[in-house]
Amino acid sequence: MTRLFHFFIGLLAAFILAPIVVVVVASFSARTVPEFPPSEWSFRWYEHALNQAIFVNSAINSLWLASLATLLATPLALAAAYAIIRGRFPGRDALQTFLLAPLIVPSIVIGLSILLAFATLGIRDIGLRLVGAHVLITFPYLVRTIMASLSRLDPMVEEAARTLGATPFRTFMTITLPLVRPGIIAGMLFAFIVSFDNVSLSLFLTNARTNTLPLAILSYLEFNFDPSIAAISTMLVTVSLLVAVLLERIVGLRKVVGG
Amino acid sequence: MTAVSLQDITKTYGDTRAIDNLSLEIASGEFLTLLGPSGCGKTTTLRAVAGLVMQDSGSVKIGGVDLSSVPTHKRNIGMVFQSHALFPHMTVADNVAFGLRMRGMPKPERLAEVEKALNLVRLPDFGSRFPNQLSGGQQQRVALARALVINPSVLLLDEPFGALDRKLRETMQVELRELTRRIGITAVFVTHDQEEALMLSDRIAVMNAGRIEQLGSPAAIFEAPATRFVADFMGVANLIRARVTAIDGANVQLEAGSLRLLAPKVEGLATGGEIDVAIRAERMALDAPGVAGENAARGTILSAVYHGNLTTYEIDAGGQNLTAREASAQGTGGTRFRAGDQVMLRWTPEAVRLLLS
Repeated sequence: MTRLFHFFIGLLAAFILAPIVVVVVASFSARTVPEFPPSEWSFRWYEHALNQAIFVNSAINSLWLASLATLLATPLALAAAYAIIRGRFPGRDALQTFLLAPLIVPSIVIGLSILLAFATLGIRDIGLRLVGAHVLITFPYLVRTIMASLSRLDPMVEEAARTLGATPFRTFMTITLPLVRPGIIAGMLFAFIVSFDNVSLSLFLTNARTNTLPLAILSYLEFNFDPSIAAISTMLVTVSLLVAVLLERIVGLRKVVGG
Repeated sequence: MTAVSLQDITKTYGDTRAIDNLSLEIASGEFLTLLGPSGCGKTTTLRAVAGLVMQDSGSVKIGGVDLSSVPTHKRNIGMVFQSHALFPHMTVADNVAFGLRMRGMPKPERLAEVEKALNLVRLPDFGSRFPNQLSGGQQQRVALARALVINPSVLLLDEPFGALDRKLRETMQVELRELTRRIGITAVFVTHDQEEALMLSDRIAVMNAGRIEQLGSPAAIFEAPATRFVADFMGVANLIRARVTAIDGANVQLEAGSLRLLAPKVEGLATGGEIDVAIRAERMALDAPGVAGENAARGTILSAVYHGNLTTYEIDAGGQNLTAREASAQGTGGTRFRAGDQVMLRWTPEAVRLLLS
């Protein structure tokens, strides 16, 4: 039984990993077309990618966007999660469903409605549009992970702090916040990734001059099919992997994701 | 002097009254237990004293000061929770120091106080450990030290030993009793365990449906339950509905089916009236068959259950089911009688307790 089980787990892992492995290996090919396995090995497409202004600029844009959206959405999500888990008020369940709605509504629909909303409100600044939209889509991921962390925190621990003379604010700062920190960090990681590789929303809100990395990759692919895209992808995978390993070391990612 | 005074406290959740117009005075240095089944309002009452629950009406006074609308963090109370509620991200020493830190005590004094408090609960060398490195009993002792170190006006304990196994619970009970008496602190203890209440308390308030059914010393609650609920909750096995047949001098005669009972007179009885009567199983003596009469009945053993030191008999006495309990006899396999044996039940008038409500 266990051997069969392990076999299927292995099959599943292979299914998930295979495309990534192909991309990583293909990124080292020396030819102008991605090859798997490459007939000749080289780093030239890494060099090529890093010399393209469109990739470097859009990568910087994406980093800024993902950082800003995450930093803005985190305190909002923390407040919302705390209200939902600890609060007792009518419409609490409805609010919870409502806050998680951006996970369910197709992002094309969200993109279109945000575009219309910004147009109606007269908000033309692209940076503002992008940050606003990305706060919206990263928010549910943050709310979910922080809620998971909060619901595992015994309310009596907070009550104990209050009986010992801590004001509600000090209780939050000295007890609640340190104890849900792993959930907040994991949520921020998710939020950053969701924002960083979002295509469908950004598609509605960017223009020719301001672009994000996923869109730059997409438009590059329309006219070119060289391994530089594979090189960029490999760099992204490496960075994500490093961040995940680092998080696992610091806070224990498995603990907060619940694996 | 009164340490804690609750006046006409009411708290409702939806349609249920968790606390129903409850008043209670707790003397300084007293150990008072709120005892009752789950849902009787005992924990809600304790939480109202702590300010963790805000009463709908009524007042809470601690040390003569009305704290009815004062938030928890300004009440100077010490509280111990069932789930110990230690701060998992802090060391034992930091846990104990927390209340002092909130009060702005400088570090050198804080360290000295923490050391004293940890000595008090016999954990002097545990300061640098984390809560998850301690056993259940040690965690609860740290929680106690954390609550006591701030020198609270009253110590509140919400079923603090509920999660511990029997043996450890007994040790902790003895320790708590000794500790609270020694430092002379006022304590309010919540439990559903009658033995725990009897053993720890100066006074017990038995609660039911948000009200206090009876308030008194452990002996008074155990020996002289005032109501059917208290008698039942305190483990009185024989609760009989009887009719008053005669009142003469110091005694009352009652009848329940073929049973005839004689009891000391109490006020408020009328001939012909019906009343609940309580007799503890261990007050029923078993004999070889004889002549029935007042406080003596013939019966047939229905079952004999051996518990080790005690044996419990179920007896059919003329249609009335009675329970008798006695020390197990030596060398007879424990039970003196077996199912089907004819016996005589006898009890004294003092064993018959009349329940007025």
